[in-house]
This record gives sequence, structure tokens and C-alpha cells, in this order.
Amino acid sequence: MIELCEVTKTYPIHHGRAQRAILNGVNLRVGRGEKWGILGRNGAGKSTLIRLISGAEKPNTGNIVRDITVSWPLAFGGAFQGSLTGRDNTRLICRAYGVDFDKTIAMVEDFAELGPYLREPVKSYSSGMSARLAFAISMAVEFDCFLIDEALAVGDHRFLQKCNLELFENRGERAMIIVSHQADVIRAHCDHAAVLENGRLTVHESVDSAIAAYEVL
Amino acid sequence: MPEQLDIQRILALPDKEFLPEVFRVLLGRDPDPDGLHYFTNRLQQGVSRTLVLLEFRTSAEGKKRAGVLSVPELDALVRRYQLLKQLPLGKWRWLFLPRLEKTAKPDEQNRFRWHQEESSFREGLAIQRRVIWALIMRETVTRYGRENLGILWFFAEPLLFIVGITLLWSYFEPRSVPAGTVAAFAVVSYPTVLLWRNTTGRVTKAIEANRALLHHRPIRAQDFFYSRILLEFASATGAVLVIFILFVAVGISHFPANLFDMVMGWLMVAWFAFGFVLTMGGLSEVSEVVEKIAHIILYFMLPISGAFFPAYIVPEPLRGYLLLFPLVDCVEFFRYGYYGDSFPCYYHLGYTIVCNVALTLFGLAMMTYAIRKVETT
Repeated sequence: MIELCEVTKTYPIHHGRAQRAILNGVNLRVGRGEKWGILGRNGAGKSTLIRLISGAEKPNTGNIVRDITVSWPLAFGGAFQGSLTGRDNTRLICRAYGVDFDKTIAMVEDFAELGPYLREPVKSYSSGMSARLAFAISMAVEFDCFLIDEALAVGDHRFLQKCNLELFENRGERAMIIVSHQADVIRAHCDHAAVLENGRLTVHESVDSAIAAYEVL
Repeated sequence: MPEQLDIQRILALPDKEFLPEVFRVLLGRDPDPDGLHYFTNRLQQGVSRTLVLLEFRTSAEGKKRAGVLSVPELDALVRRYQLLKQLPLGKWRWLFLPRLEKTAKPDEQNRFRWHQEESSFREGLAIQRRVIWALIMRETVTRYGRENLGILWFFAEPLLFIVGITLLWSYFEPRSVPAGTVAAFAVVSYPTVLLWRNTTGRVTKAIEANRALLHHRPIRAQDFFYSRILLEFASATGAVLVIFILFVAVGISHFPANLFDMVMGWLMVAWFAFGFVLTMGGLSEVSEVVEKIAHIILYFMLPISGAFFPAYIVPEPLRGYLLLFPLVDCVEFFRYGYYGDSFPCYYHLGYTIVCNVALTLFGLAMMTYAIRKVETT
């Protein structure tokens, strides 16, 4: 279960002279195996919400309780060190999570299809390539809940199909939180949905009603 | 007269019956599935039964039962619990909470716990060790690469520094060195500077540079500090060992008069450097001014760092003031280990230890404050 309780997040603007509220009293409860879609337009605070759930940032007020393991945002390549090779980055993540490196790298080689690029610095990768590497590594760690931040928009069609197979079929029993501005992604994969607007999160009874509410925004 | 509860009866219950009974007794109702699930997980994460009982007792629902039910052993702990809860020490704070249960039963666990705050003390330490090691390895590869000398730079960089300084001092700054050569003096003085000076440079803005890694739950911001400090200390220590053994072998330096004191002296300098570096790192993270003037502070600390001349050549009222700075005492102690009684070394160990403890606590507080600030903005 992940529970967000009255979570507020503000960022300083005008060089710290004022605060801008991005999230304002957000409540959400994600149970085991539930698939949540969170819809919001650009700048609505979706990525902030993901960063808070992943623990990369702390809320200003309110509580976040996680008693299941939560992934980093899937296919998020930002957590790589540019001057290191794909292999070395994989090694870092394996060490941090205590996962076997040899097994993981074999899996990553097979899944990401980066070939010789795996031994090149990550800064020479295209965004699609680094997303593929990140996605492949995250499949090596067994999380209870996956965070997905518009991720599956990158990568070509074939890779997308592979991701869908790994994520939604092979790991179908896990919980997921997908944030997106595309209603069809949410419709395809989620059984719960909420809409983020003006810092408030509105939970709807069904995915369809959430999408309807989002589309009239 | 409120009913009195025998807490040991509850604590002796097997895992399955413990929580439902706690719900019934402390809240006066049957457990709800979510609550039961939540607390079952807390127990599995290694949270002590005592802590769970206190959480029940001090919840809004639990407080209502205070008039009906008295639990003397538990209520005696409530104040301490509330005090500890305020401490910014993460999992460490619960070490100060006595446990009511007689024996702690470690539960079988088949899943990884990653997040240090949410796991038990011992697991947390294991995770932290793993993460710091991962960061050190990454830092080494990033900094020195896999090509050319690669990992050798680890020692070579500080080594060249020490050699350069030694040459410089030998030729351009002839001074009254107590016993032996200037080179021998330099090799037991200058390396101490590496510990506090270079390390400070490394930890400035360590969080900013690694921020993206915080997306990974096992990695915490303090691990950036610790890994960089450890790496820097290790490379300085390695370099000193290499060059000192070399100097002893070719006869420039003699064998230390008191090897144990010399090692302890080095550790004292490292201890001072640890507290100092955490303080500077924390301050530079929260204040741009400190970040900008950090190298000025470091530069002006050089003459009063004790590395450039022995304290005994300083005339008395001044020497007393100089020794108030704990770093000088540490360096003098380190040098005493090498020179022994061939010339007077001045240090107050008791005073220095007290200063180092205070500096370390202050540094930890600064770091915690900085991390909190960075994480909420």
C-alpha cells in the first residue's frame, strides 16, 4: 500500500521571495496490485507527484507511507551518470539494490538491444537508447509497484511491444502508477484513475469518468 | 478505576494473534483490514512490538481509551517516545527506546528491504554499506576511468602532491626543522592537509550533482557525503603509506618512534576532518555565500592548520591560542608519534576529543539540515 495523506508541495519562485504551490492537499491510496492512471495536462504537477512517490523529493507538508517497494520512474534515464558506460551504470544500480550483476547485464543486453553501445558512455546515447537501458535495468529489480512517467512514449513500436509484454503481462499482478496526458494509455492499462488539476487530485469512480472529466478540461 | 492491562501477556502472543489483540485491547475494536495490513508490514520490517504498541497508544483513537484502560509500563514510555519522534535521527533514534518484549524474534524475510528508514536497524546498516560501496566504486570509475593508469591515480594524485610539496619545502623554505630533514618533516605534516582540504572540495554540492540518484529508494543523500569522504580518506591514507614506507626504506625518514601514537594521530586528524567536512558540505549546500567563499576559508586555514611548522617554535601566549584549534592538536599528536621525544610536541588529547565530538555532532546536524532543505525544494 502506498498512501499519500494531505500532501502539499511548493517550489520557491522569484528567487525564493514567494512560493508556488504545485500540489495542494493531495490524497491517494494505492493498494496492492492496483493500476492507477493519473491524468493531467502539461505542468499540472504529474512529474512532481511521481518524484514525491518515488521518494526523490519530500513533501512540504503531509505524509507519504510506502510499505511496498516502489520503483524509480520507469525508463527514466535521468538517474544515469553521463560519463559512465551503460555497463557501469548498470553495475551501480545492481550494487545499490543488491541484485546480481552478471544475471542483470545478460538480461539488459538481451532486452535493451544496445549491442556495443553498452560499453560506451551514456552521454553518447540518444534519448530512446537511454530510455531502453533504464527500462531494461528496472526489469531486473523486482518491485511491488512501478511508477511510469509518460515513459512508454519513447522507443519505437517493437520496443514498446516488448515493454508491454514484460510490464503488463509478465508483471500483471504488480501495482502501477501511470501518469500521462494521453487518455488512451490510461484506458488501456488502468483500473483506477484520477485527474490532477490546479494542484488538486480528484479520484473518480471509474476510468471512463476520469477520462471524460479530463477531456472537458 | 480504569482496568489495568497485563502487557506481557500481549507481548507473549504469537505473531498472528498479536495485532488483532492489540486492536481489541488498545482501540477497543476489531481490526480493519487496511490497518492490520499496515501494521503487519511494520512488524515484518523489523519495527519493534514496543514501538507498534506506542503508535497505537498515542494515536487519536488510542488516546480516547486512556481513561478506560491503564497500561503502566507502556504509558511510562509515552513521553520518551514523543521526544524521540522529534529527533532527526531516522532509525537510529529507536535505539534509545527500551523494549518491553523480553526477546526480539527476527521474522523470516524473503523479500529485500531497500529503504533504510523503513527497515530495521541492522538491515538498514547493511543497505547503507552496500550503497556507499556502490557509490565509491562509481566515483572511482568516473574520476579515474578505466584507461591509462586508471585506478593507480587513486594513490598517484595525492602522492604527486606530497612529493611536490616536499621538494618545494626542501629547497625554498629552509627553516629550523627540529630533527632530521625538511623532507622527513613534510611527509608527516603536509598529508594532514589532504584530509580536510581536498575532502571539503569533494563534498561541496555533492547532493546537487547526484540528485537524480535519489530516485532510487536505497540511496540516501547522506550516502553521497559518506562515500566521497571515505574515498578521499582512503586515497590520502594510501598515498601517505606508500610515500612514508618509501622514505623509511631509502633512509630519508626513520622508523616512527611510536607507531601506535602515529596511527592514532592520523585517525584523530581524520576525525577532525570528518566533522569539518560535514559542516562545510552542509553549509555550502544551504548557503551560496559559504559555497563561494569555501576555498578562501580553506586557504586561510593553511597557516593555522599545524602542518606548516611545529607548535614549539611559536612563542608562548600565541601557542596557547593556536592550540585552541583542535586540528593543530591532532597534527601535533600525529607528529609526536613519528618524532617521539626528540623535540617537544604540544597537544591536549582530552580537549581535542571533546572538540571533535562537538564538531562531529554539529557537522551531522548541518548535513541533516542541508539534506532536508534540498529535499523539500
